[in-house]
Amino acid sequence: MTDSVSDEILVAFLHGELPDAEMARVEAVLNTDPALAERAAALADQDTAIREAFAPVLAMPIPDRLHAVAQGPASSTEIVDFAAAKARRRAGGWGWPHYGAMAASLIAGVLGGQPLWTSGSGEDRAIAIAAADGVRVVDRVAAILSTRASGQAVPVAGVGDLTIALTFKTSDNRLCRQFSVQSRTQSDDGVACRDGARWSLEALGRRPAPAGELRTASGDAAPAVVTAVDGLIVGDPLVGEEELKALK
Amino acid sequence: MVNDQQRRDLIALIPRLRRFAGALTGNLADADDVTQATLERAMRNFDQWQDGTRLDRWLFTIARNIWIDTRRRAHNARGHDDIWEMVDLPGDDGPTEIERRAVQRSVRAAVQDLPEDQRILIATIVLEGWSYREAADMLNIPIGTVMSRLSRAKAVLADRLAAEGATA
Repeated sequence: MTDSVSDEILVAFLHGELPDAEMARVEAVLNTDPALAERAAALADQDTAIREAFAPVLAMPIPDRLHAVAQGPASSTEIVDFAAAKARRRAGGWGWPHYGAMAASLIAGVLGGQPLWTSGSGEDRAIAIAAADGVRVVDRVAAILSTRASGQAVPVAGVGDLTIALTFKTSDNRLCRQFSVQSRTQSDDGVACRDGARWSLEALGRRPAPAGELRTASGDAAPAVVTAVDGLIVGDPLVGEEELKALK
Repeated sequence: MVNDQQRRDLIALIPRLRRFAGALTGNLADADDVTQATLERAMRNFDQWQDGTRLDRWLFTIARNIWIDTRRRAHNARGHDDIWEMVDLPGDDGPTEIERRAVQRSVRAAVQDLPEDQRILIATIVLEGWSYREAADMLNIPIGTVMSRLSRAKAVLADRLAAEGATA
């Protein structure tokens, strides 16, 4: 018989909550006990399932009454800064190399988020959704971010005209794009970074639609987005050939 | 006085606050009531928050207290209907999507049937990623109790979801 590992210890192990020596002991037992390893995987998957089950609420528009309370009397622009929320999330320990990648995605589930919704209602108007592993841009918008050059307005049904303002690289060599979605009454600005086939939303903000023609210089965006871009960008924005090359 | 940055921080936390409250109350209408009361209390008492400590911890602690107060008064007026339907994510309605939503509903229902003292650990540790120490401090219980309650909750969930054929 090997050392026993109770459910209680196993759960604490999966959450990285045991002392180092105990983490190592459990890991060693897991390597030799397939039944226990299976139990550990099921318990870890359950955490993911719970996060997924509750993730949709993160992507819902915030009711005005809640927004109004936090906004207080001296109202300013609506701002959501995903980058800051991400920076605050817990950097947890994890003792089981096999589950390292999963740990990253589990921890990433802890993220403040709000979708970009245009006026009106209906699910097809969302351009970003929250999942257990973060807030990502919906597929039809992601397709535009993956292929289009900056500067052209592309209509997205039910949402508005999407224009990419800026393309740039981050210090960890991710490709990011700042964009605006213009509807009749408002402009939603966002910045998203490519993550495989997906685009993860780093920040977004909403402001009233600018009068007159749409300007898309990086300085002309919701403050949260400008701040996020400042924090992410390394070097100059990619333009022309460089931009197209980076998208390939 | 609440400054602009603090207001923005509060607004950015609303989605997570609603999720947290939703896990506690079991339905979105109550969750939004709890969230609103939490924001109101936070705005009123912002000077009690110590700058440098985590705003989210402070807010969630307020939310939990409000939830407990409300439940005492209202003895569970609305019950635990899954009126989360409206929160289902946009997406195609193919078989995979329908299946996924069904699993999510089962998981939410299973979480909501847990005893309160277990449910709050799911909300703080699993959904919000708190450490056991942080959860123990908020609930004012020993860390060993956090461990045993959480593992009990997860064992119950595992049995129930396995029986229903949902994941885990």
